[in-house]
Amino acid sequence: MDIKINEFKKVITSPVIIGLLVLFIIFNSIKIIENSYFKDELKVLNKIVDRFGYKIDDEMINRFKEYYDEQIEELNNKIVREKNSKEYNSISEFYADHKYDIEEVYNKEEVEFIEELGIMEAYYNMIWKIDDFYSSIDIMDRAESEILKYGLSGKAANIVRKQYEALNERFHQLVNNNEHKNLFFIGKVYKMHSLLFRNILKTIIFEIIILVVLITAYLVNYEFDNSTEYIVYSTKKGRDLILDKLQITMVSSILAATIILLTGLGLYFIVFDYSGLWNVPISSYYNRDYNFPYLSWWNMSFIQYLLFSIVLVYLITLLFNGIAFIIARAIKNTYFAFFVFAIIFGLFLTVPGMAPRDSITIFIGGFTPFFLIINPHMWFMESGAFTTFKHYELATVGIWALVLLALGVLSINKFKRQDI
Amino acid sequence: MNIILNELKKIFNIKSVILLVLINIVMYFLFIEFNITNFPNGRPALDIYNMFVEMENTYGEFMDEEEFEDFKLKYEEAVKEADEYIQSRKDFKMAGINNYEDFANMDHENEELYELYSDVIFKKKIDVFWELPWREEYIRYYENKEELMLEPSSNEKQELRIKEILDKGLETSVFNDVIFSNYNEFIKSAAKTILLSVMFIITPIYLKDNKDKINYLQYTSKTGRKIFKKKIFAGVLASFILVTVQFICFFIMYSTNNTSMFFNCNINSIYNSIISWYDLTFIQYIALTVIGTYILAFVFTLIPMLVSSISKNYITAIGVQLPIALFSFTILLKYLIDYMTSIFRFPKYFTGLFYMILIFASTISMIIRWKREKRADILY
Repeated sequence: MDIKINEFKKVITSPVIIGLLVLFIIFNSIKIIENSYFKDELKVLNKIVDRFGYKIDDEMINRFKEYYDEQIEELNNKIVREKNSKEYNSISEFYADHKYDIEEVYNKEEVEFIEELGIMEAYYNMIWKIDDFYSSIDIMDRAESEILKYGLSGKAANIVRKQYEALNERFHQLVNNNEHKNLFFIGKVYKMHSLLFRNILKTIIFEIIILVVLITAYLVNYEFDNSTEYIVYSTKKGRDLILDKLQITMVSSILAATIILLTGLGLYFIVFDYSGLWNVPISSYYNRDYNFPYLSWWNMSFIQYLLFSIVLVYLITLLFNGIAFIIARAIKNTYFAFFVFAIIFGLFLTVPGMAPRDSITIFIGGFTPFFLIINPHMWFMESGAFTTFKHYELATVGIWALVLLALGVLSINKFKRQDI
Repeated sequence: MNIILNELKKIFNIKSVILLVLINIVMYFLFIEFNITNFPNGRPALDIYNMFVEMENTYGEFMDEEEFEDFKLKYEEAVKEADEYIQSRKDFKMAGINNYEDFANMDHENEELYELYSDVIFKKKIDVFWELPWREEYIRYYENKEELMLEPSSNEKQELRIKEILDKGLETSVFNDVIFSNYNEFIKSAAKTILLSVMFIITPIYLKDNKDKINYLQYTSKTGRKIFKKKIFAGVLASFILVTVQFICFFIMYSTNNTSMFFNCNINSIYNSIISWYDLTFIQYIALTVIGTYILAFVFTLIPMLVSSISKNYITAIGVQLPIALFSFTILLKYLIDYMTSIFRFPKYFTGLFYMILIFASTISMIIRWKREKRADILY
């Protein structure tokens, strides 16, 4: 136990690792604060959800409509009438008339009311577009355009079609479940999903990977870097120390990941108020940042999606821990080990793209942790030609865990018999 | 001299060179290759490129009023060609489209008409239909050149500079954004690769010897601590060689983009997206970015040296330089290489000043480090 504690101390007393950790936390915080200028606008939705719930059904629509009409009336009676006598049916009509002079003509409270009503109207108006939008989606069309986009043919194209057929089934199930009919922050305006998962979470993952590789390479090669290998590896404990080191790198990696996730996501959810929205399905119509909506393979609520993503981040942390361990073990020079890791990372992103576009081999490149972390905002959902498989994330992690386990055992065995 | 040669050999040892080549290959395929194989990137970029090559051939570097009349004539010819194509197709006649004007003003909301439109543009990809909107656009640019040039200026100095360009008539230069933005993307990625390579190769320069305790031997020899200085020289020489080799490789790749006919064209053009403080031709701009990269490479030789001479292990060296590298590659390059000398980026002398500051700061800190090393107690 003592050895482990001392190994652990080597990590947490390293000024570089602590320094980088702090730097990353500051960087994440800046990123979140920088994007927080619209956080007050988001609160309008929390109010709406408080009043009517997030589920869009006939009853909710009626109540929402009633309330909306009331508000428009109030706009006409209390705010507009006093200053000019015209009746507005919607806030957009009002805006069309008052392009530049709202701030001048109305006082602060009134401007607030107008702005809030404007946002509410945007949510209200979108309700009527949902059915049309979803009936216009053709999943198989999407498959064909993906195939065209990457120039796939033959077997590869057939696999994509097959996957999208499965997705198509899920899509109809999703529509029948009314998963799409739920209020959420308007993605097209705020891009909250992209902000959280594509921007913040992806940055966090990269930071974790950098830390994991540094910690692992540092600890595994610590004795060689400090010329203590002859003493340490000739003790009674001897080369079994490498197992302790591996365990401690795992613990430290998990710890580093936890600190970064906790501070990053913690600040994010303090800044952005998600109250009342935790259980909204992730495939909601409102939560679509671009033209195509997010279609998850399972009926997942936002909080479930977030938790699954976090679990996946931890698994990825361990995978990279394993990769870094094997590289650092094989290359005793920490400096080269770090760059070899970076090169391997790059090769895994570039080489698979050179596979022929008509064979199954083109898909192999997608099933690597390196590719997996490129699009964290599309985990567990429709995500383009190469990764729209129902169990894509699970398969990638599973296969790599097995491979790394095997390689790790080989690597440790080799180390035990190696000349030092 | 002998020491420097041996230091160079140490820097370019076989393992480092192999990794260096791999790093360059990966960086090339991740960031640079796209700008080489995909130039011009799709349509209408291809049509614009072809149009400008043709313009350069017939008009030379500038397009004067007379040549502009010819340009308009070419437009008329192209319209005629489009008309002929439209009239040769029955389905257009059925839809009531008789000439190019009808085609251009077609209602895209109408499904039937949009079908015809996408058939010509996206399925059959008829050149003249891709070209025409841009010919039209560029005629409009030329006719309104003064307004268009002055429009983006936001202060007096910028306005003054734009007026100067207009006085000299540089804005009619036959040079296009398709070529320019592609070059900027290319040089930015190339600079990134170069700086990373320099950092990679230089970082072990002191660290390796200190870690192996060779510095005890070195410092007690006749050369003594002068070796510190010689290593600086060797390092700078090494990165100079490295950068030159890389530039040769990258520009051989870039030459396949075939932009050499525009080398003598001024970059301040209404068809381009930069307004520069200086009257630069494209080749001068290229030279300037190359010099800029050399300067940055010099700075990025001294920074790793400094880090290398201070840190006690590789993890420290990597950990300290990682944020520097990430900052430089994402932000610094955007301001110092990309759209260099643009009047909308910095005041006139700011870019030069910034480079000066970088050179001085890194040189002075290295000199201070050397002065300290002269008196340092090496038995830490």
